[in-house]
Amino acid sequence: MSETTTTTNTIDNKSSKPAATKKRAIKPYHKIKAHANPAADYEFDYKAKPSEYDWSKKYPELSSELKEGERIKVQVADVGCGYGGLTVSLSQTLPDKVILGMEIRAKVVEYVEGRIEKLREDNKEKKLYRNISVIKTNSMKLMPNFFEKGQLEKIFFLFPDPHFKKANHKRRIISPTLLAEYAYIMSIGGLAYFISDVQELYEWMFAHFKSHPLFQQIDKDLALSDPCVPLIVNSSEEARKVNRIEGKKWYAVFKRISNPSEKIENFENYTLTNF
Amino acid sequence: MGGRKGRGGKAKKNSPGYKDTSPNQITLKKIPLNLLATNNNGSLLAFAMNNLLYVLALESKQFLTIDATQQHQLILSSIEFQKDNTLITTSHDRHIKIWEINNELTSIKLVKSFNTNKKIIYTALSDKDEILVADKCGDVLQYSLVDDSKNHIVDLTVNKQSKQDLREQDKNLILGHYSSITDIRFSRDFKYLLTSDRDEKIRVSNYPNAYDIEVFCLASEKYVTKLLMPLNKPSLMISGSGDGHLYLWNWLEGKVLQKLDLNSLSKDATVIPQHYNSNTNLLAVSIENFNIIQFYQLSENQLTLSQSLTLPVGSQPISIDLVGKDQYLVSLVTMETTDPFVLSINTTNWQVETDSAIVQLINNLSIPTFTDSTIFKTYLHTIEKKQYRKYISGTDERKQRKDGDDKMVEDDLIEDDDIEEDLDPENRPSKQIKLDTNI
Ligand SMILES: C[S@@+](CC[C@H](N)C(=O)[O-])C[C@H]1O[C@@H](n2cnc3c(N)ncnc32)[C@H](O)[C@@H]1O
Repeated sequence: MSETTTTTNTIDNKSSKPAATKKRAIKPYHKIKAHANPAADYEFDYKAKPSEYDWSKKYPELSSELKEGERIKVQVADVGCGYGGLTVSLSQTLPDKVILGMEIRAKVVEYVEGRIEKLREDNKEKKLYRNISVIKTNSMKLMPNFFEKGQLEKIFFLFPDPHFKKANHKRRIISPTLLAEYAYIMSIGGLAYFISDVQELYEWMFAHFKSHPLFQQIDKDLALSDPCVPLIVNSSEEARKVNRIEGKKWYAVFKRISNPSEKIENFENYTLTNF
Repeated sequence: MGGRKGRGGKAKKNSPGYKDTSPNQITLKKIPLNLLATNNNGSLLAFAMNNLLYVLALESKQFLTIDATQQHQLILSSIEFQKDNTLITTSHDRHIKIWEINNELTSIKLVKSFNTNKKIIYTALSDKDEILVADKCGDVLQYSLVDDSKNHIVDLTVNKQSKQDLREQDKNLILGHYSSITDIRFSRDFKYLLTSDRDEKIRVSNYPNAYDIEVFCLASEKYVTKLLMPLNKPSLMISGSGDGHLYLWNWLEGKVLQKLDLNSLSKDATVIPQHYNSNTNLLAVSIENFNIIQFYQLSENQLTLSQSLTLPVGSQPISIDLVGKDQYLVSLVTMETTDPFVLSINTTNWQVETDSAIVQLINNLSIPTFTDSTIFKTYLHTIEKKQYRKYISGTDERKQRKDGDDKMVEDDLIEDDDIEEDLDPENRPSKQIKLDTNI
C-alpha cells in the first residue's frame, strides 16, 4: 500500500542547508522557500473558537454523511506537513480517523490541496482519501483556535525546520512552552510522533518531551508495532529525500499522560534510528 | 466559509483591518504618570513617573521621601501592594524592588532589590510570597520574594552562555506565549493563572502546575488589553480588546457571558477595563485615546452601563484607581508641560473634578528635568507597548526586533525572498518620533 508513489518528484523541496550556489529555476514550485519564518506576517483563515470553524469545506464527502447535530472533529494532525506525504499515507493506515495536514507556506498548501483533490477524484468509487485535508496555518500560534481540549489522538512532527541558529530556537516547533499547548489539545493517551535527520534537533525535541510532566515515552515494542511508525520514517517527502542521500534519522513516540504522577520513574528512554 | 482573516495580533498593511492612525510626530515635553496603585485599606497611593516611584499618604497628604539612589534606573512596569504596608515594584531595569512603609505612614524603606535579568512588562503576586513576571519574550517567570535560593538568576557578567541558552534552561520559567503577554492575573483561590496576549488569546493555566493548561478563553478578534478578576464574583473575568469590545467571561469554562460593543463611541476602539470595585460592583472602562470613562454595574452575570462620563477635551486616561470610597483618580496622557497629570471622579455626584485636593496635590508636582533623551525614547517605546496601543498597530515589528533581546529576530535561513506572500512587513510606513528634550 504505497500511496506515496503518487508524489510528484519533480518538486524540489530544498535542502535545509543553504546551497552554495543558487540553482536555476527549472521546477514548478522552485520559488517556494525551504523555510518559513513563523514570526512573519501571514494571513490565515481561522475562527476564534474551534467550534466555529466550518470543517465541511475541508471534508465535503465526510460531512455529507453526518447525522443531524454531528460535527466533523479532526483527530490526527500532521504539523508542518510539507508536501503531504505523511498525510496522504495516513489516510489508509487510519481510515476511520479525520486527518489534517497543517502547513504555513501558501504555495505548498495549494499543492497539497491539489494533490488530495486529485486522489479523491481518482479513487471516487473506492471512496478513498475523504478523511484527509490540509490547512494553511501557523501551528505555533493557532492550534487552540482549531482544536478543543483533548481533541487530538495523534500529532506528528516530521522533519521540522531545524532553525540552527541559537537565536532562532524560539521558532522551533517544539519547545517547553509550546508543549503545554500541544498537551492541551491532545487526548489522554494520545500519541506524539517526531523524527529528524538532524541529530541536534532530535535531541532537543526528545529532551523537551522527556522533561515535560504530561508526556511519557511509550514502550519500545509498542512503538515498533505501531503502524504509523514506518510511515514517519519513510512516507514523507523529507524522509525520502533523506533516504536518497542515505542520511540518518532519529525518532521517538511519546504519550500524553493525564498527570505527572503517571510518569514512570526510572523509565529507560531510548531512541529509534534507521541505521 | 467566511473564515476570519487575520494574523492574530496586528493588522497587516493593505489588509482591511490596517489603519495607521498614529500621528507622524509625537512631541513629548512632560512624562505622564502611570501605574496608579492604592493599598487595600486605602491609606496609600503609589504611582510612577518614568523611573520614579512616588508614594503618597492619603490621610496626611504627604509624599514619602524616597532616596534617589534607591529608585529604579528605567521606567517602572508594575507597582503592586503586597500587604497594606509592603510595595513591590518592577522595572525595565530588570529589577524587582520590595519597599516597606512604616506604620505611621511617614517613611518608606527599600528592603530588597534584585536583578532578574528579564525585561519585566507585567507582574502578579501569588499568595505565597512569589511574584510572577511576564517578560518581553512572552515568557512568564516565577521568583520568590523571600527565598533567594529559589531564584536561579545567572550573573551575566560571569556566565558567558548565550542568552538563548540561558532562556532555555531557565528554572524560573513556568509558561510562555507565542506572542507578547498583555496581562497576567491569578484566580481568587490562586489555583489558576490567567495570561492574555497580543494574539487574541486568554490562557487559563493551572497553578502552580502551569504546564497544564485548563482552558482558553477565545472570542477577541484582536489583542487583549487587560484582565480584571472581580473578587466578589470569583467565577467571572472581565477583558477588553482592540476589537472594540468588552467581554464578561465564565473563565473556567472559557465561555463568554456577555460581549459589549463599544465601537459606537470611537471607531476601532481599544477597550481597557481599568478597575473593578468589589464593594460597589462598579467597573470603570476607558477607551484608548478617547476622553470618555464608562462605569458599568456588574450584577449576577451581566454588565449594565450606569454612567458615561466625558472628560475635558483632549484628556486621555492611562490608569484609574480608587483613592477613597467615592473618588477615582485618573492619570492622563501628558504632552505639553501645562497638561495636568491627573483628574478625579466623584461617584456620589458623578462629577469630573479637575481641582480636588488630591488632584491639585499631584498636578503641582514639579516636573523632573530629564536631560537624557534616551529616557524619552524608552518611555515612548513603553507607552507604545502598554498604553497607547493604537500606536502599536502602526508600529513596525522590525523596529522592535532591533533591540537585541526582543523575541523577533532576523531570519537568515530564508533563501528566496521573492515570494510575494512571504514578504516581510518591511515596507510599512515607519513612524517618526520627534523628541523634544529641551525642557
Ligand atoms: C522540513 S519541512 C518537513 C515537511 C514534512 N513534514 C516532511 O516530512 O516532508 C518542515 C515544514 O514545516 C513547515 N512549517 C514551519 N513552521 C511552521 C509553522 N509554524 N506552522 C506550520 N507549518 C510550519 C514548513 O513550511 C515546512 O514545510
